[in-house]
Amino acid sequence: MTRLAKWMMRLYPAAWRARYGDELDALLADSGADARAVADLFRRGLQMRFSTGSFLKLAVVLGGVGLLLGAGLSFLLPNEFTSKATLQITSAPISEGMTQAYPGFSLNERIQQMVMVVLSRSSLYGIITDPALQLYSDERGSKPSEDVIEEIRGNTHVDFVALPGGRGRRASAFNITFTYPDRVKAQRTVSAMVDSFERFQQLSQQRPVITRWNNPAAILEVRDAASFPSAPFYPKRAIVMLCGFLAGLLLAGLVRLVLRTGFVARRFFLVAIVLGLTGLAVVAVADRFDVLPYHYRSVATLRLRGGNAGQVPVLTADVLSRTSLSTVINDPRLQLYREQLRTLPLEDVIQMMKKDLSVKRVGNMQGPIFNVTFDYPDRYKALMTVNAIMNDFEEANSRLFPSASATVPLPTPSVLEVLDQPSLPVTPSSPDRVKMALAGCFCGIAASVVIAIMRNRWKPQTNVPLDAVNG
Amino acid sequence: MSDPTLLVLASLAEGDKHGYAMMLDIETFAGVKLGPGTLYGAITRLEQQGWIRPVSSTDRRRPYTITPSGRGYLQEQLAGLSQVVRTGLARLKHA
Repeated sequence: MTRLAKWMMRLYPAAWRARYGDELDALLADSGADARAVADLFRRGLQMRFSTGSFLKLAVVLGGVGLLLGAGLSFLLPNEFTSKATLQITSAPISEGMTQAYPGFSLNERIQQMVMVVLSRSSLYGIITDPALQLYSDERGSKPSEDVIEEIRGNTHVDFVALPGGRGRRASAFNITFTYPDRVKAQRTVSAMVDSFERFQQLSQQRPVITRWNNPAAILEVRDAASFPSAPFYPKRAIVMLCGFLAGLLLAGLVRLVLRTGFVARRFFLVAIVLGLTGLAVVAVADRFDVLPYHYRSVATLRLRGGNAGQVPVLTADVLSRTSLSTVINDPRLQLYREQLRTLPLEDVIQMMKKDLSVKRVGNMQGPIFNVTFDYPDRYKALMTVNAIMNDFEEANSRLFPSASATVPLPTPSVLEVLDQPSLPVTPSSPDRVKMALAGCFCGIAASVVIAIMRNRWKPQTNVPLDAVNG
Repeated sequence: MSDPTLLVLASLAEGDKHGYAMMLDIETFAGVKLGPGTLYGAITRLEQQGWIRPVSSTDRRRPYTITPSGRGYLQEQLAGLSQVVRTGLARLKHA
């Protein structure tokens, strides 16, 4: 223990040790060192270290430490590579008559339609489970496929690129990128996605309109498939964390009121910070184990192409009718509101679902566009319920607004070209080591600012300028 | 009273002492066992204030002595404390 105590003396500034080191060493030899003495030397040594020396020196030291930590951490993280392909969609030469026949169907909308299909769950699931690609093999063993699909979707990006079109044609280009730890797999995955785009293009040119329902007056399109909620909608995670921290502070305040003397009274600031951080940690653990009463929101965007604004309320009233909602609630695949159904009559549960479910018009472009949202504690059920509601909308549209002749605008004939083949990435796109090192440096400097502020609060017993000691 | 600076000054008021002697003396008269870091933190501050000064010695156990200004400071602090003690005791008596 004496050896450890002597080692703790290294925490003290060199100038201080030159002046008092021998004396302290003799004191330790006489008194011996127990755990309390070691802790005392450690605490006072740190206080001495932080309360002496200039802010600039501290900022340089902590900034340097942060820089090294950031750089070191960046080397611990796995490399990720981004492969990119550029595709262009060009409208075929259009005659005057054709232009009038297919009004307003922009190429960007066409791309969005293609992206929706290529990044749909079924398409991505096909890519993930492709034995030639072997993507996310670890994740597939430990996570539900919905989560893995969200992961691949999060690592895939589609960006529009401005390109001039040829004479009499319109053109629109877009990049598709995918990021993955294996660069060859990243490239192959982008190739698979490009193949999906080309396959969809061929299919849609042969069969421009695909609908399950025959001859509705207006086509109900899915502009955005039901989203899989990855983060809770309410309460917000940050607010819950803040509440945990504040609860810790409050507890510290209450303890301070009860214990007016002793350690809590003397070190209230420290106790408050420790209890606040403990509260934060408790909430974080509860969050990790899904104990908190979160609600997740799934959203889908639908368009009634060729329809009018008056049709949406009619469809909504039908879909949100008691009969329709009771069917959804009693759907054995969804298993919604199980707890409530045990204690409440169905009518009350339907009212409850009406509060969690909303249909809202968000715009009008070639027909009214509206969102369907559903909030539920189980994110998978939220997603499945929105899908069920979307099906109900389709069914209601076909039943309530039938038409003898289809007036569906066909998409403009177009040509899909691959401008840039998927690239084989050479250098990793992440982690960005320079950025991480700089972030570490910034955190170090910020910590030195905090310490500089804290110096005035701590007022340690050893708060002595060393120049005075040496002088 | 647990302020280490006052405890050190009170110890040195009796006569010159080195660190370990101060530690034992304080434990005896105040019942407070100062840690080595706390003790030398207080000694550093008191020396910087000019309230104590080291006595020349060839031994590693360097003794310290209280200076006149240190004695004045201690007197002033103890007078304040004794006023508080007297008032407190008197009020307890009449309560």
